Amino acid sequence: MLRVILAVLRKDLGLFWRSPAVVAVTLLPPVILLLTLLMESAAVGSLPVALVGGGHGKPAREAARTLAAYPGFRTVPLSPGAAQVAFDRLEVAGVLTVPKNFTKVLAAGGSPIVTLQVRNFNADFTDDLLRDLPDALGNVPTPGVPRHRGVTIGERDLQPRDANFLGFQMVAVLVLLLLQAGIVNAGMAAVHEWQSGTVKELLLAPAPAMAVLIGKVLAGVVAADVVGVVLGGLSLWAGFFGSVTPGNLLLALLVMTLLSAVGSGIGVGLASAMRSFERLGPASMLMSFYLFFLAGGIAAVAFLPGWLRAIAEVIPNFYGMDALRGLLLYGSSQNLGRDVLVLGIWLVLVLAAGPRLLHRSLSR
Amino acid sequence: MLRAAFAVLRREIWSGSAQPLATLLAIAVPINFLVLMALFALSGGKQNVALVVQDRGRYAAAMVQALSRADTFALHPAGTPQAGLRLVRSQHDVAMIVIPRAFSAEVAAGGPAKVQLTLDNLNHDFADDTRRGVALAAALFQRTYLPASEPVNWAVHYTYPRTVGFLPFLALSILSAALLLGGLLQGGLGMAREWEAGTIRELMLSPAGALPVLLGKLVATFLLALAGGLIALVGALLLGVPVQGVLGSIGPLLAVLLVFDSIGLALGSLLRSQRLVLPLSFAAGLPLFFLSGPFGPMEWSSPGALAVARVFPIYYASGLLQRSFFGYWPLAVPVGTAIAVLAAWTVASLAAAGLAYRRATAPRGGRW
Repeated sequence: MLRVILAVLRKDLGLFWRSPAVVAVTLLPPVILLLTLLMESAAVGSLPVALVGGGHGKPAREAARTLAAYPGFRTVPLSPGAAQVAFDRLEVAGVLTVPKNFTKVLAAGGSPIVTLQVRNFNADFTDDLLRDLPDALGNVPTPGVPRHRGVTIGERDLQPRDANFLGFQMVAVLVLLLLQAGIVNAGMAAVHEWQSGTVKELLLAPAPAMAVLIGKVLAGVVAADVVGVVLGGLSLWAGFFGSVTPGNLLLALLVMTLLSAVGSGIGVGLASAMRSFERLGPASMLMSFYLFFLAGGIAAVAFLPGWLRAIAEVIPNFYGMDALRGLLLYGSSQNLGRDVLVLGIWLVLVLAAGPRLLHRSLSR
Repeated sequence: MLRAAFAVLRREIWSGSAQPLATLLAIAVPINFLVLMALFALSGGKQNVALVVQDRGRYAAAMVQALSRADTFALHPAGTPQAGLRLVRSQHDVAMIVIPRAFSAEVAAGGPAKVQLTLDNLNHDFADDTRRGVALAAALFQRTYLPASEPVNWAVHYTYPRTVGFLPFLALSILSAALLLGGLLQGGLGMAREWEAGTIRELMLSPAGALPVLLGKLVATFLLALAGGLIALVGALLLGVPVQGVLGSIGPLLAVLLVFDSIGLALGSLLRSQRLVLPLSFAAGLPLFFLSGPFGPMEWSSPGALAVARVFPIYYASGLLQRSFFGYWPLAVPVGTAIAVLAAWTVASLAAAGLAYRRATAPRGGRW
């Protein structure tokens, strides 16, 4: 049986590396998603805002300085006229104005009003600016005026540290890559048997169908793990994941292998149903993207509506993502047992269904 | 010339109906893209937060209202902190906010009154949104009930009378990307199929030149892609894009579709392989969606991302659609420039397809 597995493994891996279309289908979507996220992350967290720091006196200047230093805005200090031009040219999302009478009103015991002119194209970034404004104003010094917090917020964090935004997304890209590589490679290798007509020889040979299936799944796993380890290694080297212990790295490799094995099993099943490259190509890509987005995609599952969360909880990559984020980002293996168990159950299910699907599609 | 173009068009439509699976696929893929991106959009709305109110006083009720007015949270009442924590730990909610028993009494005494936030700080960006959302709610509450605690006030002036919701705004970027994907697949796969099957030779042997052949193919591709485009438009309307914008958007929609179909034809002519057109179209869909400015103008993104976005037609196409549906112009370049860039892409794509066709028909030692 081992000889059969190794023979199928060697044959399918050769097929993968020799086929530019398969390599392209495997690598292009995650790589491009990665590049897009890199570009996107450069702008995440802050919007460009013109800061008009009018007025005389130290309090007005201090207010302008505090607002300029607030990390939620990318402030550009401008005169009122220049700010209006920048606003009209869409160079900034808003104009923040510290009024000319800021110092005077404050000294008289009043409440100076800082204004924000916002180009409210959509609710998402408009709300972002609205959240930033009171937070930023809370840091503005008000010399001579007593200030006390009416409402204070006590915070308790569940994770030891906030993960890096890019690292968080990188785990999602890694999961997509493993899934895509597993589904596409094993699927393409299997569909090749139909297109070249060798499937009959393969299934009518004395070798057990399970050995053929395991060989095909293993080929998908090796191809997926190689590209996964390269991407994961680069992310680790770039510092996206923070510091990860060797033990957690090994556990992450186990989870990656389980995930790509499940993907490869799904790929072989899909190939048995499709039996042609033209049908399998788009179907496998759609399948991996559906699995990816139904399990939360690049966001966290807690942000999804209830019905979508219920679907996510039966999808294998949800558990792969949870385990990998825990191990690589938070140094936590809290849900690891559950995650590995569910991935293991999925693997047994796809392996059990594989030989039956292969034989059934042959008899059609 | 027109007769030849019409003959190619008829042949193309017939060929499409003879291969229903491939045609259906090219129509279905953009719709699938719409569904996938809608799934993505669903995660970008309000944050699911468990709310535990232990205080029955009026100030606690006012704080709950302030949390709602912060436009950040979808609040789910939880009976006890333990129940709320279970919701957070099981990833049903991103955070839990507890308004403790003594809250109203502390506010009545002039503060400070404490609100407890338990946060699943998965990443800095998400966690910061939650933190600032709670801070905004606290500021809104203080403004009304404890004005003395905040000496600096604020006012917001909106440029437009209505703020477009997150989902409808995103839906137009999704629609643009779905149209692009439809155009690439219909145009690209159709043209590549001709080269793979060798049927392009029949066309080359005919007395018709490159222009009528390309024209016929373009119109046929346009008609086939239109079906997927219309379904994607219905999807966008379901995501909240205003129906009253539909009439005014017909012209821009058709023009955008024509641009994307031309690019598809060029892609198919240059790659000549369905196996390459397919992954490339898919691979292009997602990043180009991000470059269309799905969350806000690309002008407010990084300069690098803006420079890249301005190369691609989807940036301008998305701007034209937003102008039709929402009534504002969201790009820093004028409308005329956007139309000129789209026209240039169409001409350049058709020229590339024409060049590929002519080069293939040019005699080379008696062989094609």
